[in-house]
Amino acid sequence: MRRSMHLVLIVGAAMAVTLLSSTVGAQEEVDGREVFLANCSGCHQGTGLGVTGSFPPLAGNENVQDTAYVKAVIVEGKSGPLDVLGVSYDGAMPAFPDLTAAEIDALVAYIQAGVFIPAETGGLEPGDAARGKDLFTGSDRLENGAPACASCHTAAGFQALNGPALGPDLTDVANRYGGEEAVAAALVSPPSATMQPLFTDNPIADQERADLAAYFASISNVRPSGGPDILLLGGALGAVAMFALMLLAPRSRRMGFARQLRSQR
Amino acid sequence: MDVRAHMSMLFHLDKCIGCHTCSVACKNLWTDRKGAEYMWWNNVETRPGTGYPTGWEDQEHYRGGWEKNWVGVELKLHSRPQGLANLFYNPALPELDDYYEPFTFRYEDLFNAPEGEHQPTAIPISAITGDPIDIEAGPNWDDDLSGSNIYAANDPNMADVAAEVREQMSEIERVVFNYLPRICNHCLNPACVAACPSGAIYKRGEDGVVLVNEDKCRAWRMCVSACPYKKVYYNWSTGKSEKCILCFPRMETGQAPACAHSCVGRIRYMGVLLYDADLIQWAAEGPEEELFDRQNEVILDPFDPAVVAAAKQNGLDDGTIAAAQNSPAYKFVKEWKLALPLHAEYRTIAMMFYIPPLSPVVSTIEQGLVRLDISPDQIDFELFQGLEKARLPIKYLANLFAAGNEEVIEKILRKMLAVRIYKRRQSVEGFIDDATEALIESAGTTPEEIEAIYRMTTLPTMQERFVFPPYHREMSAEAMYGDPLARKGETGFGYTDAPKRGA
Repeated sequence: MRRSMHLVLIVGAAMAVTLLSSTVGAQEEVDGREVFLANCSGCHQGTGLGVTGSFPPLAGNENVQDTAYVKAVIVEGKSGPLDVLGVSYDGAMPAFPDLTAAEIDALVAYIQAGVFIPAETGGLEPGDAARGKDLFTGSDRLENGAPACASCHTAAGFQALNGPALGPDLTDVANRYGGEEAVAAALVSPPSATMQPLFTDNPIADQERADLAAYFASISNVRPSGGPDILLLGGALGAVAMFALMLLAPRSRRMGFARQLRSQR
Repeated sequence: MDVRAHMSMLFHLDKCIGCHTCSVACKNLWTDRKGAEYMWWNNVETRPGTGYPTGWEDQEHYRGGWEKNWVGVELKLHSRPQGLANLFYNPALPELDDYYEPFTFRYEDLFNAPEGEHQPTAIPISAITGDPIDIEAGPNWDDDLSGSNIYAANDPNMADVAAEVREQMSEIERVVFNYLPRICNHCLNPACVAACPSGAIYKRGEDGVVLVNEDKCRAWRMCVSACPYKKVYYNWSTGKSEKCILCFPRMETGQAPACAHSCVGRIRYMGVLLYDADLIQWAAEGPEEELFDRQNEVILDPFDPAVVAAAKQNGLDDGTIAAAQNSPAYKFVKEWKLALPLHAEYRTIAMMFYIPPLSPVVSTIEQGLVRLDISPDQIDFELFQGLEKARLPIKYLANLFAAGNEEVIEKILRKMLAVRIYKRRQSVEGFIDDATEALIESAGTTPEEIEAIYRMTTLPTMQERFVFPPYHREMSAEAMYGDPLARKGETGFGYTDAPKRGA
């Protein structure tokens, strides 16, 4: 009884704080950059350069100057082949109906200004790949308490048996995202639905992003070793050994009491 | 002193006629289900015989019960480390053939067979596979055949009976036998509870009924092996173990368990025994010859003011104490000392009790001939003096009920014979002669006790045979769920225990 009272108090307090902070936030001016990093940079990249073949660039893209078009795309989403600057893209963009009008305005202004990553990289120290590796593997803790990348991901075969396989292999993530800076930008707001809840509350610090990005850049050319899949091989060998043991085990069951008696007949 | 109440059943074997009504009543009520076809929570065995499942008393084969070693008392099945190491390997389990393959008959053949020269027959089919089978055994196979050379000859209790006695037994047309009805013994030191790796079996506090929690059972089947009486059964359909529940839903509503209620011979009695839970370990660890005496110590005198006070302190209500004072089980077991548990040497402290049978008809063989020339009263005295000539060997009964101790059985049989002789004198001759009085004294009884035993044996009413304490389920329902009327008028959907993750 007493414990549940405590629980009610704590939950109530937490709700009050959340409510208060959200109302305060609504009164402040919306920062288009933050909205962009929270919602768009996962695909279009912090650099605004997009991903070749899937997500079109926003930097240098004439279409973004058409405010009505951009707003429509944000609210309704867009999919299917699209030619931008002579390159064809066929990714799918979801609708973002939850953005407020103020947020959309700020976002459109930010995109139209066309000042993407270069404005930011200036603020980041050059990354240290060695420290990035420690952060990746969890030898060094992330400052804000988020789990280490290696909880789910593997990269460059850093561990025996290829490491964790929950998330995708990050060996060539720097190539996929279009460079070290793009990775660093993407880590502001990780793109996948699985990562978002983990890293929204415990964001990766700026220097950590730079270090991690440097690490990913340093391994981007490593080819995962072409050797056999140790897990598969070991499993198969283990299974063979078990079957061999089963063959060695005595084949006949103990004779039951009743069958013993009847066999004396 | 930790006083608790136990519901105990008592079987008066002299009165059992081997009709299997108890088994059928139990079957119809509880085990007439898929997966339970082969189970007989109550069964009646013809003795000598190997019983059901075949040879259940051979603990070298089945490894049931407890054994005493340097550690103290340990399961015969395995020590704790062995139990963990062999969790997936339990060769001591009985197999289906040890019970029997349940069968039915293809009755539709009687109606659907094409017209032919011969009457159609309903052939036996397996109740498990549906395929035709050759019936090799049943739950009462060899019924009434005490001399069968497959089963009865292999009765483990006959192993140390003298060869000439066994020879004699088979001489009398192989017709000396008695019946042994068996249910779960709801032991004080249950081996099934101790062996369960899931902790799914427990002994109820209020009446000592041993139950399997079907939600927690994980089909390890260690209970099946560990129970020396082989009274826990594995349901192959549900993948859970099941056992006799002493018809607790009936007892809670004041009715006798189905087997006892339906008993034609009225051999069954039920009543409360108060016991001291603190003494259970001491009783289970005793040397073999003291096992039953120690069990008798564990059972408390409900008239002793100290016991009554301790019982009340433990939350037993006046109704339960009154039921314990009225209990036929208490009278037979502790007051008259006529009843014994089955196989005390298993150290499970079985709480169902048996009054051993007197031999069927008094007659002994002398030089190969049945003596018919002596008068009945002489025969009475002759048997009293020479119990070793009884048709059912004392050693055999001792192996069943007294861990091989013949003296215990002799004392009980003498007392029962004294009752018989005394009442015969009284009703046939009309008076008690000196010889009979001397006989009664040597049997360690008194005319008053004889009258009481006689009355409880032959003329008890239903209320005297079955004395149940008030269970007060309404009170426990209130304690668990609060006001019983709070949800009256609601739809009845929902949970009393909400589903949740984890254990």
